[in-house]
Amino acid sequence: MTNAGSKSITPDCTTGAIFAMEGIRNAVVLLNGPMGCRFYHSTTSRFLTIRPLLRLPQEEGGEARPVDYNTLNNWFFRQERVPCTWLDGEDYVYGTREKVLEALAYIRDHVAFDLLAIVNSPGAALIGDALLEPARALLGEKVILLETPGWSASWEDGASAAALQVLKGLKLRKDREVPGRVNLLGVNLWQRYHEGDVLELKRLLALCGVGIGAVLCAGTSVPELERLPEAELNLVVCPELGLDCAKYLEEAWGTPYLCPDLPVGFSASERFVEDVCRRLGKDPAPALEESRRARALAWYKLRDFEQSYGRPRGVKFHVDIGPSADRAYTAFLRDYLAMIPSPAQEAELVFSDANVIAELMLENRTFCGIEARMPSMGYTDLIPKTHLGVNGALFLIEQVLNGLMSKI
Amino acid sequence: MEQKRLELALYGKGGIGKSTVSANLSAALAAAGSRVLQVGCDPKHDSTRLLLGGGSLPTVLDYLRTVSKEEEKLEAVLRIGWGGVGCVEAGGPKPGVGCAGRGIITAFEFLERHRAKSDYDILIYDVLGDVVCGGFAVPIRREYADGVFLVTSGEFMALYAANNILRGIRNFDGGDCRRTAGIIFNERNMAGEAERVERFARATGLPIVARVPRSEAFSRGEEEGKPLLALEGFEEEKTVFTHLADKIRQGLTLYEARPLEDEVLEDAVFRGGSAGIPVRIPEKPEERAAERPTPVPAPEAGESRMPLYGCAFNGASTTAIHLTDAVVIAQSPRSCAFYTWQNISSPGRKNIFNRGIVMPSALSPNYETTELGHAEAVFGGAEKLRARVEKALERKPGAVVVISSCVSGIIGDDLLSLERLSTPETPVIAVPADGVIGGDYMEGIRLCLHTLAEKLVRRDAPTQPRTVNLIGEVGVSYYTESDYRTLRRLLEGMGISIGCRFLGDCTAEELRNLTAAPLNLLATDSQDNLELKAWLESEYGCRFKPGTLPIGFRATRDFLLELGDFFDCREEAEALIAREEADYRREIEVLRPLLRGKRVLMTTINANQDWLLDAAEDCGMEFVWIGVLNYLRRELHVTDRKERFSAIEEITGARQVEEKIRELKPDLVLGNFTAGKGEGDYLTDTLPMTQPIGFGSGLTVLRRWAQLNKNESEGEWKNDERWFQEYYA
Repeated sequence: MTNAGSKSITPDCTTGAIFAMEGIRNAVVLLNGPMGCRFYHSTTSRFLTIRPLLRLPQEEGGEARPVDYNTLNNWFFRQERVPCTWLDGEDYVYGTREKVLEALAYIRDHVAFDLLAIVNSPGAALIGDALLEPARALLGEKVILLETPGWSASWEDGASAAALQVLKGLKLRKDREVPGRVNLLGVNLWQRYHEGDVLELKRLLALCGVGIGAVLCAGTSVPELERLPEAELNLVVCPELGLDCAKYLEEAWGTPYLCPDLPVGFSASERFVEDVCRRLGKDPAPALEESRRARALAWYKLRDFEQSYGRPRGVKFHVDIGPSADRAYTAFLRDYLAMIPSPAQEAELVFSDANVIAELMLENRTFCGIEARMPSMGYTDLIPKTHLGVNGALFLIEQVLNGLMSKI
Repeated sequence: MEQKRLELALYGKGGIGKSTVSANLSAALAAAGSRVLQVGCDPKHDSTRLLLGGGSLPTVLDYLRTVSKEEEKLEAVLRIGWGGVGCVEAGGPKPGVGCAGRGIITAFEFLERHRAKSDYDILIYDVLGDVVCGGFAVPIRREYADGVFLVTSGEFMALYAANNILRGIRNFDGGDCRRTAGIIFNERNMAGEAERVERFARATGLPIVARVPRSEAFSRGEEEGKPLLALEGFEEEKTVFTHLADKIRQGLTLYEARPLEDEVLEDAVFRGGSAGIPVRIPEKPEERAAERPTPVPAPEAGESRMPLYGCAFNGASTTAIHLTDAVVIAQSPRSCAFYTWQNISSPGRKNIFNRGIVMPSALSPNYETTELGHAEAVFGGAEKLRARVEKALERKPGAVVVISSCVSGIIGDDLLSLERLSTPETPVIAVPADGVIGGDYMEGIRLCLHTLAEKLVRRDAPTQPRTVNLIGEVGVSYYTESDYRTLRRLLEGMGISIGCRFLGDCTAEELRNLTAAPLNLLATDSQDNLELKAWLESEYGCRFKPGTLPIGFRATRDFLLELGDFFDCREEAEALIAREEADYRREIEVLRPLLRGKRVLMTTINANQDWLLDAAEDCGMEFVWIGVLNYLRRELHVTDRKERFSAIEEITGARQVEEKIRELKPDLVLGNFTAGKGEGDYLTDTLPMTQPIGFGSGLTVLRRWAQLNKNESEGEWKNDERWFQEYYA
């Protein structure tokens, strides 16, 4: 979907699918497509997720040494992430199978991986080559295929389809059920602070004695994913990405799921924790206490700010992040900070991505853009930040207060 | 656990009667007690007509065009026909547009999504037999068809198609799998027909499992919209199908696909020669070939095709957006346009964030996409594009430029016909890049530049004095905009204006007047730019100043003096140079104490580096050795003043560089990429691949070296890789 108030072109299901697969530790995502479809993903995925360095296939009794990716010329083109089959016009006519098998054989011989995911580019999806069987004959069960990521459907559709394919392609197992363990489904890698988001949710739930099993397509390893059915509950963070997977797991493995509102702001975060704890018979008090402390800090800073500047009450803001995120951010900013949702052109604070923010800057208006989704302007974060949970609420308030200084 | 059902595909040449055979077989299977689903896989969607009383049903593809994924319902496309047979038609695009093969894939995905097969024991896929692409071959895939019947008459083309289907199966299965269920011979009553089919059967080692006589029973069935079993009489014809149904229900014998070479097909089958072809009888018929793994043949060595970097679509798009008053429409899925948008906007964002430079064309390019979706992939995207172009024309832009992607190229959208929508104010210009089909990124740039020039440039534009055009700027670069600003400032200092940037940011009108400028400046001497220059010279009579935009002090000074001579404003040039030189000398004096006497060893690509050598020399630095990476095996040329440097050599290997470092003991080692620090006490630095133009190009690098000299520490962080290995492995 192109943003309503912006010309900016946002990523679609192909990118969603590739990055979702890239979110699995020690997976290699082979893009069956032209090199033009690859550059963006190879470059950007390094910024989106931190992953272990690629290693050479382990020789018997030897140590698995890191790959010098400068030597990965074939298919990788000296980049660690998202190798591709560099399709050209001839391949569209004569088929891609041969190239895919060549690439798979090369990767098998040069890189150690737990999972190889083949994702078709829009053109490759169109010609419909049968790839799964020959790929499995070469690599066994370590390979999955996303044959049709779709064309122009949403990022979330692509990521959701990829995650579902992962669940269907892996050999999941359930030796036991671990009480008090939940999986996180539907973490959105396109959110600006997704790594911090996961850490914050883990932190809050851990305070209440709830452990996190797997975080689907957001940093979890294949062995952890395979034990996904052992959790007591699946927690859907973003329904656009995680609900289909939750339904699948409920049907296939009988694991119930919970789909609370995205925990943006104090109230939503408290509800989130309470809902999970109620379902698992845990005590939410420690996390609620944490929230109250944070509320106290926020109150002090907000009171100070309001006394000095009479704000943030009444400030117009605009959110353009994605359906469920839009609702959650808007509710917090409107209800907690008493700000007013408005069109982007009137807003003093705009929560979106750097493309939308930069485009609005061309209008020479005074406003503050707050990045909540990728792409960013280029700021490199080392300390994990979040917009979710209690710390997320504090960080959002911090950004709002600093952002409002642009008009003071 | 769901019980494995039997899935059978009936393939045959178009018009051979496979739909009639399929429907009657489905009816016979149903009458014998099987629960049957028949899926028609032909765009003309009449496979199930006989089972539905002559009526038709909405096709899956037509239905999918009208509903969102959330609203989809299987019941909308599944009807129960004669004998309880489930009937589905995949459908497809009109002839000549879209991609029918993709349509079949889409329909199959829909059926999977809605578990359409779960209520049935036997599935019959009725498929167009000329296996024209991967889409039509989907039913042959082993996740679908357990067995494949070839429906054929004795006509040459029907047998030829049947042989092709065997090739298709062979392609999927290799030589160790049995999935061919036999031949259904649909008689046409032609002379010698039976013998031909029998010869084909013998040669391919397949049995004729049913022989369907030519009979008025079938035309009666067509008229009444019924399968044979629903008609009175015609017992002999009915028996053909009930027997075949019994065979299937009792367990099929499956055979390996052994297609014939064309010569054998023509000689042994069509002409009846080589009577000695042996009949091959399978040794161990298997009913469930799909359960046996089939080894994949080792991939053959890659061909000698070179990888294409980027794609023509992206190259054309990033070029076309510089026509600032145009609307550029990508006929593409959103993904392709997104990569382009990122390609364009990334330097824009970085410039605004890091340098505070606002680049409007990079932050809000005049770029749109038709967002080709599932429907267009199957039915073609020309209508959607036309609507988008018409809407764009309402805004009366300088031009509407339409660029095609891979998907558009594969489904065969006709872009050129849209040029007929041009109005007197706004030309519509088609750039048929077809994604990567049109070539790599540079091919796309070339295609776009040539197309725009051909459609817009006036050959007889009146001359504008003291005007230059800037030709061949790099489309996506951090320096493009700052270089342009530097050049404009310098030229304005001499009263010279820039008419057209071909193709940096310019309007359609400025491009129309390309020939008005008496002189053209080539931005860089890349091979593509040299070709562009030659083309503009020969095609439009453009005159070029020799050389390229100047990098470094001396080159910039000479460049301005030459321009002063050409435009008869040498005095202005000299005054400008004097001002710039004073600034340059001031800074050199600051850097000289830090850099004087430092010994430099440089490895570089084979390109002129005088911009750097001059500045370093001005600071009193000494180049002890220059190693040149000469990939293209051209004459070495890193300086116009070779006499200054005796030690310029071609690099023959990494060891050579290491030895030179050991031997010459430089203070600074420069390279195009940062190599690991080797033996010796020296600093390393990366030589940028591109440099800003103007007097100060070398100063930027020298400032950095001065900093490096102040601080020799590499940073303790380099010791911490072990922690990464420990905590992130």
